[in-house]
Amino acid sequence: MLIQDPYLNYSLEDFFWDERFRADVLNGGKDFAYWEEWVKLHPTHQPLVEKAKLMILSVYVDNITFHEDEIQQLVRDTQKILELDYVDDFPMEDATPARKMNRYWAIAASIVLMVVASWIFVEKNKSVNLSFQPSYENLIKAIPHQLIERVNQTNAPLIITLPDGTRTTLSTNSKISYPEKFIALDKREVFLVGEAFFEVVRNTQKPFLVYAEGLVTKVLGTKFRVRSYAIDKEVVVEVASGRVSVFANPKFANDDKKASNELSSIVLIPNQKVSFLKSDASIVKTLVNNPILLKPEQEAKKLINFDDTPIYTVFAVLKEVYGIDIVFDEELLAECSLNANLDGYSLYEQLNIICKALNGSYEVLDGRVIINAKGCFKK
Amino acid sequence: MNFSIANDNVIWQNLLTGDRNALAKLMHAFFRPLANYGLRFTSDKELIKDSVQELFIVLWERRDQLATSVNLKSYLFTSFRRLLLRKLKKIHKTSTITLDPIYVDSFSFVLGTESKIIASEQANNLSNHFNQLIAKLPERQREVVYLKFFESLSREEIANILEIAPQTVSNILQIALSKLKIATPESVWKFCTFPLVQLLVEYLF
Repeated sequence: MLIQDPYLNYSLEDFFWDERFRADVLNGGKDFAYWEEWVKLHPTHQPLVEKAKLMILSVYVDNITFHEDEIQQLVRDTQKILELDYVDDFPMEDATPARKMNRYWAIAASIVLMVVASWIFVEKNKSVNLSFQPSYENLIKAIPHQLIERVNQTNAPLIITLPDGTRTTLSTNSKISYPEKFIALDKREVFLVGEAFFEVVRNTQKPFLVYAEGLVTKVLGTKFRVRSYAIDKEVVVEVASGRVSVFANPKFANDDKKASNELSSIVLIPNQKVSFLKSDASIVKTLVNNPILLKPEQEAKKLINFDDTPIYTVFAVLKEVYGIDIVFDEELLAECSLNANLDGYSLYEQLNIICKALNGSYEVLDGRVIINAKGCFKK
Repeated sequence: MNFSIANDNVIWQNLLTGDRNALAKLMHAFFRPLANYGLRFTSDKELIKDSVQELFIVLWERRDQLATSVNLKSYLFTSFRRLLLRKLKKIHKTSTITLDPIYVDSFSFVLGTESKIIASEQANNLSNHFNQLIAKLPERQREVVYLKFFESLSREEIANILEIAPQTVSNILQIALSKLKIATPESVWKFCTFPLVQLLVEYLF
């Protein structure tokens, strides 16, 4: 017996709420091709399908899209956290009395350790006086537990997987230290001299901290680079995805800095970078030298081909594609438009092309692009 | 979502017995609906990802205290809403400087702007019209309309999520829909012989 196509009995309402039909309409292109074929087979249903499509397109909530990769990454990260037992597998109530005792002993022991460690630290601070530097060696000396140290003395980058699954690409002549297991309940700490790129496994409950000289970089789950060679005058942090916050290590800040707001953290988004000057612990936010596309290349290519596009839209597209903020006078530039395909150029080249067309200029200030232009005549 | 209710329940049972893969499957299946819902409160993608992860980790930690039979979607939406709003409140409290605009938005949604490129002018007119109407609704009504039409949740499920009585949900919906209906001029429907609002009302009651 032939199974009848259920869609033949669909009303407009049925089509409107049908999950598959909805998805195909919203995805468009290849996905909707099925329905174009279907309509050819059943021409009497064409008006119905057209109407349903129109309705879905007009009453559809516009969402910021999460890419499938992004979602899968989050699920993988979460699985990793569970596998590595960073989440307590047994709720407190289930713990046996022996386990409970151990817990108390562990807490007592860690308190003693902390007291001893801080006493040692204070004593050391006293004897070392003000010239105490937040160098890599001094930073790891202050850590009470054993650390694993990896050094890259080869000419090729060295990939290291940290105990939480985080992937680190260590550059030549660089060193990183981390604990055998991230046992601390509230954070994951690593220490770096030289350069490394981190792809951090997201763990909302345990921020990941990179200590490099006097700068601390704190993230939840992102991709970013830290460069802190001993001979450099500054520490540089560049963000590839997600969000990163950086702040001067409060342990090494002098008192007037501590009092001021300068210790508060600075938040970085993709394609932004900070330079932390070792001498005075000042932090400057700019853009990375080569901003990367945050959207898949094919998608971005289509977006940046402008055909008599209002300048407002052009900047909105660049904001979306690179994730950076572009500041301009909307009123002043209301009459301006752009006719150019910007595919194949870097962000800075693209900005140059636009500014030439606008007869203006741009500058990068505090991690944002500021456009200076006088406006265009009405056509 | 391509998960049937029966399938959801099997996965839920597996999760309760300590199957990590079951947790991963649920997280993957529910990420988009939860994230899209969360985006109505804030456009901070990182905060949304953090919140979804926290939701599922807490779920895992408490799995031996959870009910074996549960309306999964409404349960997840309820917990997620509570968790996200708590986080947003904390951000509001701790931030001393002016808030980033991504945190100050109250519950809001915009129809059809993404699809503008492919949609016809008629569809654009209709979505613009609806956007204006929806923007005028009080926040509560907006949230109920969203959960009803874009998450296809039942009256009882919405009541659970918003922690109000089911009857209140019906009342809010009726008020919101009558506002949408009254404010929609005949001309908007000219191209469409089947008034959408009529359809929405029929679908509901």
